[in-house]
Amino acid sequence: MTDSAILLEQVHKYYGKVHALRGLDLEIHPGEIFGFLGPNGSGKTTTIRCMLDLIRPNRGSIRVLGEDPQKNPQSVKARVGYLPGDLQLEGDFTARDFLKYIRKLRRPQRPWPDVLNLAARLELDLDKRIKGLSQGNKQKVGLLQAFIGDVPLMMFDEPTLGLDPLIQQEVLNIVREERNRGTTIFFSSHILSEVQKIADRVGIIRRGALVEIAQTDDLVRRSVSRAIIQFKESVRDSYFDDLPNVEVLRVNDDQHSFTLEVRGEMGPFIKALADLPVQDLEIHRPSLEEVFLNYYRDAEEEN
Amino acid sequence: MLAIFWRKLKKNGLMILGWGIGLAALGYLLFNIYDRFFLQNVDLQQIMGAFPEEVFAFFGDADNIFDLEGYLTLEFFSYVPIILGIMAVSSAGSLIAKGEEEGTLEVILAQPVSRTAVFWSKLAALLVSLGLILAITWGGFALGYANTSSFDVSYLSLVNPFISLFAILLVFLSLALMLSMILPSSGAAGLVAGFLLVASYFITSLARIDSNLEGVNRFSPMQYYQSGGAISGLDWNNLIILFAISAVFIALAWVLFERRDLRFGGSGGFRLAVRKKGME
Repeated sequence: MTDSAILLEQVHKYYGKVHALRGLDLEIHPGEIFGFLGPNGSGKTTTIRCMLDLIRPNRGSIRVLGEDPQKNPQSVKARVGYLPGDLQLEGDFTARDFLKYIRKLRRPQRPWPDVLNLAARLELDLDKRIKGLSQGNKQKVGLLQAFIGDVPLMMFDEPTLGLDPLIQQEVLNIVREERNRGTTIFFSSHILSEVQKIADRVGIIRRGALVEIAQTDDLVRRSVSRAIIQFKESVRDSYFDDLPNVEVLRVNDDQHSFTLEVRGEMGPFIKALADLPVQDLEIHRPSLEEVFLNYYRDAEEEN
Repeated sequence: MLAIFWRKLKKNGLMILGWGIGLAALGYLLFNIYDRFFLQNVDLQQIMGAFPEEVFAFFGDADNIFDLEGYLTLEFFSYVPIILGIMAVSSAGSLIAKGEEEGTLEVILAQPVSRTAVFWSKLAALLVSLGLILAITWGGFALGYANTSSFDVSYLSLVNPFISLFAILLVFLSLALMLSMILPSSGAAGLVAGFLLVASYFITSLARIDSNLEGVNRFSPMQYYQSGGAISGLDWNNLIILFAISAVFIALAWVLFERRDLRFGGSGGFRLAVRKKGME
């Protein structure tokens, strides 16, 4: 038994001349919710499809729940529930018949009443034909089919795509409950606020390679924060010149109010403030979205 | 996997009934027509007899269009391989590739089923569908035959040309399936296999008239098709050749599907779509 739910080492994937995955390394721990971030074309879906043997990597090693999906695809897929990002379902089924069909293909299965319960929570009418469903309702059917199997690992590619905010919230609740049952959750999303809400760790992929992997909170904490300080009396702005990772953005005329940018840990900065006559302090943490955008902005500047 | 097999067979239900009942009705009527026109109308026999032999040779090399074999060849078994063949290549070309084009196969293959199971289940369902169409058609022939006293053959011997028909359809069906694994779309696979079907039909038909085409005809699967002549006995060598060709195409299709990446994209040419969507 391996310690990793998913382990990718130096995975390369080419589509003709296009180098889609460039030596991707990734490790997902059992029982965690992992958010996989990246813009369109960065390699998120390719990574997931390689892990399910829908496509095959050209080089590198993949282990899902300790097994090589290229060598033992059925064994891996029997233990993974998957929601594709570009979900397409056969339209002539009713949602109920489709789920029963998928159930016939799966062992072990979740009890059928549990599936019905999930359908009720997602407010899905199971007796409508799939071709008559809205995109959001099709997404619910896709989510439910991912929950048909009783599996230790679930992969969602954009799980809340097309869902209204209330149902999005319910989906996140269901995902949390799954994690609490011990299921490992691997999901990609463009909605960074939802990743920030539920992911224990996040990985950022850019052009087929992982550029960052960290605890979600750490990633946010390590990035640039903005501090707005009110002093009781005027303070020389040169005071902050000696502080590492601190940059003065704005000072008001009487030198009482400062807006500063602080990179990384806040500890040294807070300690430095202890010697100053601080009246008020506001610290604005960036959202994951800002962190994510910074990575891409930096990359573009490098290029 | 039985679930995939039954699902596909159920989806083919209307196709089976439509083609089966239509062709069965035609078969039933052919026996009535024979009684009413061919045997009773001496003038018609004279008119038909006035046609050059080449015309009948083109439509199946019938020795005598007034016996059962010649009549059924001319009126049914000569052209039905083209009609059912177009249906067969279209169905086979889209058997796997359509699911890839539409994106529906991704959800199925993400379940714990092997590609082999998906391939053989769908293929088996298509072959059973084709078999059922031919069986229903034979039923129409048998009913028509029961109402006539013009011929004296066994019901079982009426099955023979359908076996030969199944074999020739299987060749082009399996060719379309194989092509769908390498060509960029199910439509392209059906088109190329359909073109080869029609080309093979004309080459074999014309080779009966023009001996210069004999060389090319050796490569035409249609020359191993027995048509109505099979009523008097199946040529097992021809059947084995047709089944062997089909087995090679099916094996190639299977291996290609097993080894290649699943393709993703919208309908039509989806090489471009792979580049756009597959990278994400």
